[in-house]
Amino acid sequence: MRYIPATEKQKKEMLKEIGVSSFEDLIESIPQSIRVKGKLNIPEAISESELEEKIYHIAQKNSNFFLMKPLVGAGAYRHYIPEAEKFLLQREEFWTCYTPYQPELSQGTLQSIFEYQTYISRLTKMEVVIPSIYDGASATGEAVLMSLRLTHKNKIIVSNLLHPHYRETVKTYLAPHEPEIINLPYKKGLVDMEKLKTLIDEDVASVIIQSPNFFGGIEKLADISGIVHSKGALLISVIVESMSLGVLKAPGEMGADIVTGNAQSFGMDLNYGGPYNAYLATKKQYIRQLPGRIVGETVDVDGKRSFVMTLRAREQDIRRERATSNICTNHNLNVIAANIFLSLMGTEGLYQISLLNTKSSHYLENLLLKSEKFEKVFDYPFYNEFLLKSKDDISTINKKLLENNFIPPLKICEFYQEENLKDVLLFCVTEVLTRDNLNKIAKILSE
Amino acid sequence: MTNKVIENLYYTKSDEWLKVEDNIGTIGITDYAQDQLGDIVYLEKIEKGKKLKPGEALTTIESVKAVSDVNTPLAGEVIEVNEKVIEDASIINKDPYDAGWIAKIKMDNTDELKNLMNAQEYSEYRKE
Repeated sequence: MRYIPATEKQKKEMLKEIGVSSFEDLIESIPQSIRVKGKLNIPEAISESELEEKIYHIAQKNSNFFLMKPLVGAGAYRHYIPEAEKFLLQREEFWTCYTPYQPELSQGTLQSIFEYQTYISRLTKMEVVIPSIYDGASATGEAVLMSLRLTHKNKIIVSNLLHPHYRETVKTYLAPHEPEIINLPYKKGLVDMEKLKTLIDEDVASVIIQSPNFFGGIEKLADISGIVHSKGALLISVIVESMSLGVLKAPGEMGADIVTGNAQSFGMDLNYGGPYNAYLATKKQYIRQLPGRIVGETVDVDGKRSFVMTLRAREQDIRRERATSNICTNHNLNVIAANIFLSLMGTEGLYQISLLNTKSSHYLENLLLKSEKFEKVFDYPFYNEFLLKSKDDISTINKKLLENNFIPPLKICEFYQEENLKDVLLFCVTEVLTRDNLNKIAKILSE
Repeated sequence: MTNKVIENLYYTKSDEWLKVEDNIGTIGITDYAQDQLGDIVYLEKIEKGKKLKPGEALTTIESVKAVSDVNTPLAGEVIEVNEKVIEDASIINKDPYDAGWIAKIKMDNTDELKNLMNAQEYSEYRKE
């Protein structure tokens, strides 16, 4: 969007049109006491060339992200993005793909959404998928609201190993409903199943479980699902690291009723924390309570395959305050990024890259344990993130890593205050760390 | 536009009809309502035993172009649901006053009936 300021002549015309004599007249109703007096506290205007130089100097304070390899994930994962994807995403048509309400003008955009829904449906083994939500946390909030609508109940159980930011978002989404939110504690790095059995009852709408969980542990979703369903509640499965779907069993095969996930790992850069993209998938029987709408395949008047938005009637522009959700749009450029990424990877590629993540993370864990500078916190199966307790001061460790161009792991005590989690680091290893990198990290940390 | 009305039924401004037998009321939507909605595709499940205040939503009805609430004309408790229209909501388009009935309620207070319209009044109301 271009910003072209109005000329004095245009301003006069506009004032005349609305029937006031001057700008001062227009803002007359704003009390003098709250108006800015004098000039705003910003520097004087400078020339374009001076500005460029100034910004260049500021930018030099940044580290080069691509030379800094991350050992941290915790909700945002750096994976390799193929050049072909970056190139294709430059196409101008993709940059203006706003919510396509006119199917006759938007077949390309609609097809991109339909294909995204198909990818996510196959990866999660769920029957229906909406055209994406902004991020995993808000997708989870929407899923919980959906579970309240489906069950007419107002109590939920949330795993304490759901990403802390996601937990906060769920609370924000639910606040107007004044629900009862029960915290499900963990045991040995995975949700406490015995505790779940005692907490669950007929009043529970849904149980929200992240797997791999915030500590990296792979939950026994099928067993959890049995407990959840025994009392008529819904299981909401949350996937924060979607690359794990390449090797782990799909939540749809383990009894999940609603699946939400952060799709950032599928071809999206870290983007300073966003924009990302997230999915929400469910069973066909719950289709009427989905937030937003879906894109369906149909035929046009000539009998040719075409795409159209469907289930629109419950959206806010039609149903106003009675709409199922106020979700009405999505990050479609990121939908296309995920499509291109997944199509370039293919089934085999995704499996290989996902396997490499888990192999590399286990490789580093092994090296660090061997160094005897670290010890295991929990003995649990993990994907590409794991906790290790350090015998050295963790701030010193992180400083050493930074000096060697590695972004240090997360100090878990920033989110969990338990005594046994002091000096514990949450490591994340993706395929961007080569074997040489991992050996070097182990060497730095063994010294 | 069609607006067939049936004698001896009560009508609401939000286009529901009510048939009264003793203290049992049968609820449906009018011919005008089904015509305005167009092809009806879905009727949300209704729980038996649900207690409703006058004008409260009994269920939602979805057509290809809109979703609207079906409100109860009078307060009462849902005692019977027409499972056939839950299964195939298009019955309401074909036969809104008979096979297309939606639910039966046990009415709390039949005095409230005086707030509703008769066939003639409703017919006039929708003519405007």
